[in-house]
Amino acid sequence: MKKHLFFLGAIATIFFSSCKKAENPDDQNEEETITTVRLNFTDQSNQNTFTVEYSDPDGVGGNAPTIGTINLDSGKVYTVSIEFWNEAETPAENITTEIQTESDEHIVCYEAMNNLMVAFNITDQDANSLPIGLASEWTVTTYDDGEVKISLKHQPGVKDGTCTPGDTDVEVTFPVVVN
Amino acid sequence: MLFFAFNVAFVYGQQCELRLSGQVLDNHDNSQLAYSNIYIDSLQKGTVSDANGYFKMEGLCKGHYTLRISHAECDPVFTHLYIDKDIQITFYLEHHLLEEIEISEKVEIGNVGKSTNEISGRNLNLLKSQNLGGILENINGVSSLKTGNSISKPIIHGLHSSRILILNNDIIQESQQWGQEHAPEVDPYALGVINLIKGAESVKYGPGAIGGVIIVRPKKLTDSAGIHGGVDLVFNSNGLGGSFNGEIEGMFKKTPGWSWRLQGSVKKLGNANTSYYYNSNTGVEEYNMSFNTLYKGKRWNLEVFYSMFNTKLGIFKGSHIGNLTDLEDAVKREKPLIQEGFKYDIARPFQKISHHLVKIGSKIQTGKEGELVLDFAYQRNNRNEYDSHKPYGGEFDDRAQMQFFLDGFYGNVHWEHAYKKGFKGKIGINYIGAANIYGGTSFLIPNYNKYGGGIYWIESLTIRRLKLEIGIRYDLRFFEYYYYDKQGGLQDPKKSWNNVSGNFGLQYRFNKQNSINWGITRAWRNPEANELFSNGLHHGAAAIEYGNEDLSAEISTGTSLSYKLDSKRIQFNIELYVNYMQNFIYMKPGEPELTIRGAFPTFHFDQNDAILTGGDLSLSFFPIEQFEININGSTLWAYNLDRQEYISMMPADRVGAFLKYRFKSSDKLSEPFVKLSGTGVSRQWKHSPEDDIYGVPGAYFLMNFESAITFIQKKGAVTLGFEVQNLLNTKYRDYMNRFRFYTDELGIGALIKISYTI
Repeated sequence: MKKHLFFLGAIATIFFSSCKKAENPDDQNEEETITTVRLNFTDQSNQNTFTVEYSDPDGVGGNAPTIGTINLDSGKVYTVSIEFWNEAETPAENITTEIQTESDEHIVCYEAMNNLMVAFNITDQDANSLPIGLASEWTVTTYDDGEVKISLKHQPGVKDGTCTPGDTDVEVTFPVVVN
Repeated sequence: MLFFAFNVAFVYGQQCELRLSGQVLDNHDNSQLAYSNIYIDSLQKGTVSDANGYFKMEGLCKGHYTLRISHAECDPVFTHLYIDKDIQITFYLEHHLLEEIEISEKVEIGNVGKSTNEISGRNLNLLKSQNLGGILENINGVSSLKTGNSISKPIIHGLHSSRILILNNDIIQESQQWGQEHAPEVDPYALGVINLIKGAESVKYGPGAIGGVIIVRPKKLTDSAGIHGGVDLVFNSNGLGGSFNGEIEGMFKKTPGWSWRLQGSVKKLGNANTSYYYNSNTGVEEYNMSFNTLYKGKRWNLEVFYSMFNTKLGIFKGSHIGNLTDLEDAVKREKPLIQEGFKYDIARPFQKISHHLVKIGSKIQTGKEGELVLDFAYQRNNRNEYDSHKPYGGEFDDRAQMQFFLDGFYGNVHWEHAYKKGFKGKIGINYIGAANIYGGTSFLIPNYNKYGGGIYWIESLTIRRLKLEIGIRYDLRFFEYYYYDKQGGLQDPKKSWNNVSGNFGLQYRFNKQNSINWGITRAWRNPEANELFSNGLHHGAAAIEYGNEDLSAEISTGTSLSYKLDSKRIQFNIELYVNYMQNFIYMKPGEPELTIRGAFPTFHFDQNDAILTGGDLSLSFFPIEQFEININGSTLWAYNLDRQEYISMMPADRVGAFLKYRFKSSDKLSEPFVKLSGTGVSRQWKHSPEDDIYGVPGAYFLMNFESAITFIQKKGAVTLGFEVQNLLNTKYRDYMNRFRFYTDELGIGALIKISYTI
């Protein structure tokens, strides 16, 4: 009987200690989400720089994302670097370095949409000589406005240099105005 | 026609060479009853009489035994025997008379008017390499909700997950059962019998048992001295692996009354093969053990049971999708993009789950009046889900994206009074407590503490051929939830639920062969944490899900009617049911939402009134005694009364048929059979097109082949089984598989099964 009571006591202790644990949840709010896509432009003709952002700090639901507009000049070539941040964390966390570390499993893709005539040239390569897309060159050929769709794909074991395989970690669309 | 499969086990030891032999005859005309079963439950040992009714059992130990003698056309007879020398005996079986006491013992209390099914003995042994969901699919009216080929949850009459209870050795299994991709943590090798109750059974077990109850129990421990053991080995060509089980049990001569069993199993399968390609990363690993011990005193007993379940389940790689565009691309593909061939390794994404159960139970005779039953249990469930991608941020380590820890405590006390003037009944209380802790890289469900209890009373009355039963129960559940809201504020809402369950059942036996069952039940369940508090992206489902804190309890009122005919030439069973669900909780589609990952459809947990109705039918015809021709089928109609449309994700109608030939048993061979079966599943047209934007897979037809034979040796018995699943290598997709968008179901697979018991 004593053993019986001891056993019940042990169970009760485990149970009540886990109840206490439940009272202190982790703050899991968007710990792993990318909240911000930042584009750094350098105008190759005059070395002028500017930055455009897509940002959704409160993640899924909540407030709508704020989306910057990309202003480009026709006939010019821009050097563009892209950064991914998690700004839900304090201090904000730079996810770009992680993508760089696993560059053989990731690709950033660019697509001109709605009449936009921009040629994208990815200038960085992973260990297998496949494009990464964190660095690129944008050549603007006409005066047509439009949109650019940028996606970050995770392609473990299936990266082939195209955008088709894998799953999408980021997919954002920026409006583009061409002057 | 009563047919029961059995397990042959022989007792080992010097003293155990006694022999029981004799003949089974009909009580009225002394005709010889061929193929009668003579079975000793406590040893799980039996034999079959030959064409002239003769039988023999060898290798028995000295001791007291209860024998069950049964025949296809007769009710079983139980006889007590003391064996201390070789014995020759003649059993007489009763063909026609119906004794009241026999009816009252036929149906367990609480099951009058309900449809119950059992899988046990050799039938169960031959299925044990499958998971619980797969085993239960053998019961008409039960199907599986699958996530790929490795995760399978039983569906009873259209209901699953939080609407079904699993009772593991009399303890309510407490885990993350609300999740559609969270399979039950049960090792089939630890089981001796599976009982399934279709339809609500809340009175005995409490809230949650709206759709049915799955009762799994270990084999009964021996009640005579001796050591027994067994090994089972199964090889499956699909996945190039299999399972191994070993167990040893017994009772030492020096400690009579104290019996024990130790059992352990392992399972390893690599990538599964569809009809034309491998599903990448779909391997399975499992290692389980259980220990069971029972002390039987004169007027009481004490049982201690421990079981441990561990699994690592590979999740099909092609199922991981980032956003809606990925999903659309996957749907369009004829076959998955990722083709890695055959592999044993399990990589991300995968699930890793462990479940521990400790039970202490006791039965105490309270005079001649009845029996007091006490059960206490502790459970710990740990579930880890690893996404295809290592989590972004932090240390960039290899941790799980989702972790759940559950500690559960369960207590049950009931008193069952003995059969008296036609009445038999029981009264009980139980307590349930659980703490669920969630850790993850994004919010899924809040932490919660759950406390609750219930009190119930069931009474049955037998008046000759009629048996009536009434049961009532009251339950209280109290929850404390803890989570951080989007603004980072700690929220600690509390909720409590209480409600009444009840049932009324009736069984009438017109004669030996015909009986009807009718029942009416009321059951309920409280909404689960995900239904109340979900708030965000459900990875893998490519959907944003919003919980609803205002949900009220789901209440089911159902009735079922079944008719059974058991004759020499024909076995017929039909069951019809209607289940009216008030506040049926489901996910209602909303406007798509834009996120940094692209656009996603949204779903809001909502509730409406619904009706689920259908029927299961099985008809067997025996042109000669050993040849069985069976057809069976089941249909379900699930309709949302408020939305005026069918409810999606309900199993489609199915029909099946089989031919089975049982060869004659002898004293060397037991129950050899061959069986060829076919199953046709219709395209699910009864669905909501709005919920199934990517359509519904087509109808399909599958064939299976099964056979088994048991060789009875001087010491022990060897069973060999051979099975081919999907004999025609049919390429198909099933509506109830959550991965139907990405890949095919399994192709042909051959299983070789070997068991040895001694």
